[in-house]
Amino acid sequence: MNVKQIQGIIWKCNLCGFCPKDFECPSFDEDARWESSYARGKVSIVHAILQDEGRGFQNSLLAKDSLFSCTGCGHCHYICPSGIDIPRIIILGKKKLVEANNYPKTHEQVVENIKKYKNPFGEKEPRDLAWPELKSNVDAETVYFPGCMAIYRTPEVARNTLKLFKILGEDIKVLENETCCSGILYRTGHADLLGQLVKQMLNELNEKPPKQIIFTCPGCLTAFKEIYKSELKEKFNNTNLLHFSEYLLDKISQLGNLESKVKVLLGNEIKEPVIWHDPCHLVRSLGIYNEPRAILEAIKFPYIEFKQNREDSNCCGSGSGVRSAYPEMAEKTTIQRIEEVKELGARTILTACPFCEYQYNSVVKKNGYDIDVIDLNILLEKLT
Amino acid sequence: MIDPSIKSKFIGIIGKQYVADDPVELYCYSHDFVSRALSWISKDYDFMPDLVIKPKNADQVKEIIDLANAENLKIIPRGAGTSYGGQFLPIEGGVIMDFNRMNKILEINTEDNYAIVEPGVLYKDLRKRLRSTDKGYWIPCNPGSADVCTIGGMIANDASGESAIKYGTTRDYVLKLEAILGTGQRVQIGRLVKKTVSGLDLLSLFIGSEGTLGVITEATLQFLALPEIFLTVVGFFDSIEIAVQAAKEIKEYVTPMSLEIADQLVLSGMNSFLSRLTPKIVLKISKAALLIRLDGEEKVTSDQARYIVNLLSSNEHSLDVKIMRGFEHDYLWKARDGAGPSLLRIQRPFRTVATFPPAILDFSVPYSKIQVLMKKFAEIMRANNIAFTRMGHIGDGNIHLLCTIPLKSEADIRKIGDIQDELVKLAISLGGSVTAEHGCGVWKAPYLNLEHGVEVVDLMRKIKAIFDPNNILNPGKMYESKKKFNFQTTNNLSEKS
Repeated sequence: MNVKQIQGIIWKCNLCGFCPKDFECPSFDEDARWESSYARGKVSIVHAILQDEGRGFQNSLLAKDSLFSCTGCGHCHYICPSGIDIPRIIILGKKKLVEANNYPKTHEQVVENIKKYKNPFGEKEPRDLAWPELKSNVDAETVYFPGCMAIYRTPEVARNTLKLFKILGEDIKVLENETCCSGILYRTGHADLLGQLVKQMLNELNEKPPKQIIFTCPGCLTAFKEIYKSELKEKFNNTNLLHFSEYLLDKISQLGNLESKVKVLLGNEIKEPVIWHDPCHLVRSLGIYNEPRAILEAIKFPYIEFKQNREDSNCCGSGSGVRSAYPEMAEKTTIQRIEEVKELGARTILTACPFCEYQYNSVVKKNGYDIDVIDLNILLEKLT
Repeated sequence: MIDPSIKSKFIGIIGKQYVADDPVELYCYSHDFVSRALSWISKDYDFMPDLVIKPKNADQVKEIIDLANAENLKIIPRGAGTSYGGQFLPIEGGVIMDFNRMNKILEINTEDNYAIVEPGVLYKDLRKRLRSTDKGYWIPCNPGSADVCTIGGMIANDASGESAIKYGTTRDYVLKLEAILGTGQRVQIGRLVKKTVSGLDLLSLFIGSEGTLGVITEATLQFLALPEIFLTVVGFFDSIEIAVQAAKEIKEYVTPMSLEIADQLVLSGMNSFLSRLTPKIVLKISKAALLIRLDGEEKVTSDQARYIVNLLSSNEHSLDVKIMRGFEHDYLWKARDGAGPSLLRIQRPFRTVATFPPAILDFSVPYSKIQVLMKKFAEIMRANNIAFTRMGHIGDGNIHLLCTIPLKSEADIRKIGDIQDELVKLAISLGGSVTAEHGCGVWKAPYLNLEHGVEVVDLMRKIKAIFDPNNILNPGKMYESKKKFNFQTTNNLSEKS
């Protein structure tokens, strides 16, 4: 989206103030409560940057902190009565600040890591270490895209997903040129650097379009659907881009009768009650909130809901480079979620996003909470 | 740019972390919806404050007012910044006093049914507290911004909205105020009683004065017992004129809590708003709908609803009538609260920015004149090839006329001014008012002479001068119809009709 198009959206913000305040917005500064920490204030800041004309807004530290502390969770977009895509406006603002070299320095490293190592963490191990054979499985019509987080930080998600594919008899492959989806570059204002690596990956997809690409990371799936939408659409209209929960829903019966095992698992390995956390990208970017619930209901797995759930769910605090640039803010948001988990009496957080899982687990461990965190695919694998 | 020595004085009063002069922060406080749109055309509409400050208590407010008088600074009080008249715009620069730190509910007295609050308390928080008391109470004002506005802002603007037809406006629930006048004098106005004729009604004078007489530091509000039930009858019609007639028939039978009208575009906007909520409800798209909210004892209210259903069903132009309860009722009113902004969801894309003419947004006219006003509005819009919509609190004669006009140049700004002038003249000639509830602020101030006559407005100015002799409080609003911007009328509107 270019500047002119963004201007066409910004004017629609009538500053009504309905956008989430309080803890619904992870970057809202409860103590200071300045306008710049509200979603509508961030829109004002992007407006200011676009209207800059020598006033120096692009070099402002406040503008940097306000915009880059946005996790892109999209709660403001959901709440906005005018339906304004505020995160998209903020991303354009970030882009302008990157052009002015005014962005968190931790993001520089992320950019370098993606360029050099194909992942944002700077991990030097090859991406396909765990499944080299899948790379050459050229006949498979289903591609599994695990994403950097599942490969390097929550490998049990990727491993268990592969096991589930095997049980389901799905012939899969991974991409020869798999790289970071680069959603993080887009969401931190570095869209111009999406670059060669991603192009190679997309070319590979274009050469022989698969029947479907299955993702376990909602962030990666959102990147493919949003950022590469036009490029992918032109070349292979017939390829389905699916989150694993969408893919699995029709096939859940093929995993066998899991109901009997649910009771055993809950009595032993998994602490009750279990609470379902809706990942932001999954519910607000992709509109997927019925599928995971339908899977849990199909196997009669008991769970409870957060007070705000589905499209109105609250962010885990991570995302869009906030975890690296503003770790205290990310942790504060996660703690708010965990405190609600405690208030509701839950002892296990169940989710379907490696990023959310990793963020929750980090904060749980650091602060010594007696809470477990588990991914849906790990749960399902345990039941099979 | 404020003098550093003066900034230091503010810091001395309230602390460094509560004084902002970063240009980016100031910019965030420089617009409302209208000036935001106009600023794409001209920087004249960037109303940058010199400082934004956040006092914590009345003592600090007093010190700030004293400092402003000593240093000849302008003070602009601000609540949640949700008003539509430009009340909170620092059009002459100055210091914005943001009240969101003065946000304590000080007392809920269920013996005498009053609450004492600081001005920065969010109305939704007070409502939540009142609802959660043993018996359940409420203050029955329902401005569209009820979920986000502050009590101070409601009082300063005499907010009302959807339930004014039965329950009146904020004014009807304020018992007492503590304020710091423009002179720096600290006053208590009002008593803990509903009825008093003791002296001049300064309380009423203060309510709706848009921060031009003094700064509210504490408010005592009366609350009522919550009704047993709420339910809403929605009637859909094939003609907006018929809907207006039907509303009159309803009024003759009962005074509902709310009696709202929405035209086809508004219904589409509301549906767009509702589409994001689960479970789903969808409103029938028709030329017009009436939303009739009833409250009270269950049997009486249900009987009233049935009567209204029968009444509307027998109308040959009625397309559908239904009663909404529970979540349907709640969602409907959420959608109604967000109906104005929701129109932007369905707004066709412009190649440029746009705005609505703010002075035609909020007329009230005698009920018998509503049709004339709406018809003329439609004619002007059609003549100018501008899409338009009509909605509002038809039960009390308050109609919101909305249209979105693309802005490419100063000529478009003048065009908006011309449209406003014609419609404002009409509304006033019909015996109406230029603003029923949104306030004068900047955008409607030029029309006060036309509505009240020069002498009366001059009297208002003299009253203002008693409370605020140095004109430090919210200058350029209400009484001051400076022809500063092309957007405002340049026609001769000084004579009372």
